[in-house]
Amino acid sequence: MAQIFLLGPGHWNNPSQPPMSQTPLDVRRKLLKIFRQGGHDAFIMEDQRDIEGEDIVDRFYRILIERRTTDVVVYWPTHAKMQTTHDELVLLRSRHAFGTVPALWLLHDEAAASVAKGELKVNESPRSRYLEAVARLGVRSVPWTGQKGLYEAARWLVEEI
Amino acid sequence: MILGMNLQSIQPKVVLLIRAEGPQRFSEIAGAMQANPNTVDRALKAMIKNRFIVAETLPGQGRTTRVQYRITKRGRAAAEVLDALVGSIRQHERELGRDAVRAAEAAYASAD
Repeated sequence: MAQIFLLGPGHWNNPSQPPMSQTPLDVRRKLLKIFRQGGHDAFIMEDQRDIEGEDIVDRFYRILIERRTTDVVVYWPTHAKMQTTHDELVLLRSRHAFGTVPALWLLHDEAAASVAKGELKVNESPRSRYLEAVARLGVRSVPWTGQKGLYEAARWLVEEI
Repeated sequence: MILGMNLQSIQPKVVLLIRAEGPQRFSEIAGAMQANPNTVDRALKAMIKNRFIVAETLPGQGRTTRVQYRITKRGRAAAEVLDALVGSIRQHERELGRDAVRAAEAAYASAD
C-alpha cells in the first residue's frame, strides 16, 4: 500500500469558461477515490488539519512527513491555475537538498507536456523552469488525453505504484 | 498485435532490451535497434501510450529534461508473454516447419 500525496490545481484559469463542468479539485477528489479503491492511502492538502501558528511551507512539509508519503502524484491539466502546485514542487525540490523525496509522478495532459525523442517538454509556456527544477528529482511522466484517458491513467498508476 | 503491442514493429525488441539492460536513454535504444530515430520515437510513444514503458527524467541533471525509458509491470508481463511465445514456437519447430520458423525469425529480426 502506498501513501500518495496528490497535488494539483483547484481552479481553472477562466472559471466562466471552464474546459469541463468539474473543477480541478473535483477531479482530484475523483482521483483520490480511484487510488483508495485500489488499496492505497491517498490525500490532498485541502483535507489536512491546520495547526495554529504554522505557515504554508511548514504545513506542506509536515503533511509530507506526517503521512509518510511514498509517492507524490501531480495532476497537471491544461487551462488551470498551477502556481500553487508549482510552489509545492519547488518545496519538494528544496527538500531534496536535505534528504530523499518520495517517488514523483507527473499525471499530465499530453497537451501540457509530452515526451519526444528522449526529452520531456512543457507545451504550456512559460512553465518550463518549474519542470526543469523538478526534473532533477527524477519524475515519471504519465500522459493522458481526455477525462476518460485521465481516469484510465490513474487506474494504471494504482497497479504500477 | 498482442496486448496492444505491434509484433511487427521494434516494440517487442525494445521491451526485451529494457527488461534485460534496465532503463535506457533514447540514443541507447536507437543504437541497439539500429533504426531511424523517427521510427524509434513512434515506437516509444506507442509503448508509453500502452503503458509498457514509462519515461522518467534523469535525476541530478542540469537544466536538461532528458529522460530514460523504464519498463513497467505491464511491460514485464508483455515480455513474459513474448518469452512464452518464442519458446512455444521453438518447441513446435518440427510441426510448424523449420524453414517457416527461420523465415519468421528473420522477418522479426529485420522488423522496422
